[in-house]
Amino acid sequence: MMNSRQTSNIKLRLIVALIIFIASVVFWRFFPTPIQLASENLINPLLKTESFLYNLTSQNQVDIDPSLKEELDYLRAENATLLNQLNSNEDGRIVAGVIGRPSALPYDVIVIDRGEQDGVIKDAPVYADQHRAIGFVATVYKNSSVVILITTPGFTSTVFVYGPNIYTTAEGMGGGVVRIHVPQGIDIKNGDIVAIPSLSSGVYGSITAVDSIPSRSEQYGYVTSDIPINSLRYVSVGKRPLTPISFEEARSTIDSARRELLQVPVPEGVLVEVDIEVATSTEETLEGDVREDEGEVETETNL
Amino acid sequence: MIFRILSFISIVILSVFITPLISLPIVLWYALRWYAPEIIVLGLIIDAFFGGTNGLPYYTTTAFLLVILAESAKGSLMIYHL
Repeated sequence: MMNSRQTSNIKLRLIVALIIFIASVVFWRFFPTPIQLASENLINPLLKTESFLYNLTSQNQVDIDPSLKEELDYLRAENATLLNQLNSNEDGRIVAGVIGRPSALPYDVIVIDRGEQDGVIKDAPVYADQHRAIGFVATVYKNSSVVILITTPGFTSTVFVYGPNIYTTAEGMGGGVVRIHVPQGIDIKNGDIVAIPSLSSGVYGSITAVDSIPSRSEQYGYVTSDIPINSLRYVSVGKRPLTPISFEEARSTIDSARRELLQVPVPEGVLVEVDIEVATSTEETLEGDVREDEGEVETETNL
Repeated sequence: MIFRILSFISIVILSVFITPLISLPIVLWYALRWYAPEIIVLGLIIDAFFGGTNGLPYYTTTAFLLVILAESAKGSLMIYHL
């Protein structure tokens, strides 16, 4: 049994905890800047250390691989990804290293090592490769930024599903999964490609599972990206913030993404293509030859 | 005191990098072992850094509830009456 002194002691502790909680919520809601500065100084070094160790471990894995060719392929692939990210847009992008991944972090976000000093702005789209946007910058710090993913729980977006060719709403489920819900009767199936036009990127991923019970009025499709978020080492950040787009703009993005679906990134030297200028001059030459031939025929006929 | 500081540093690292399913029991142990309103501040720091755009400060709220739970339980647990 507790005596009255112990009871009043516990009450006092609870009151102190309540006061700290209320003060914390008030600060978080109305004066977030000082707390964010403090949290940046505390959490950033932790994230950078973890990222350093992660990269060190990954590099060691390559070093211990006996086959040098595999290492070379790995470096080439990484180099190609970085070049792709740098040259992917006329406006240019900011390449950033990923120092925090959703599997380890609270709130299913990623943290990148570029911030205000590097020109990162709030609401800028974040890309995993040349065209694939995975989210947008939610908070910008001096040397880092927090990126909210499309898959972050509570994040909703308008998507287009190729196959049934419908627009619908998708909601983030966390863990790299987005869920779309459509009425029964619409034929969605595994492999249907899903695009998010508002992120100016087009294709996001494809449906990997369908949850359809005939007695229920709607069915769910679970969408994952082809690029595993947890293995991302670099991303690129757009230099312009996202802005709301009209339906016409969305449709245009979807059409352009549809065209890109047919294209395959073939390395330079492997792709065999006819140079357009050469082709045009050949055509002109052929036309000229035909005309000359026709002239000869006409001359012969005249004779 | 050193043990408490080391425990708190461990909790900071675990809260940032490990899933809450693992870190929550450790935080509960910490709150039962000592009176720990500092974990509310830790929750606030995590909410401010990662969840700035969220509607609710989940970590702060969870930490507060853990402190309340731990302090309420202390009166009923036999170990505190030995």
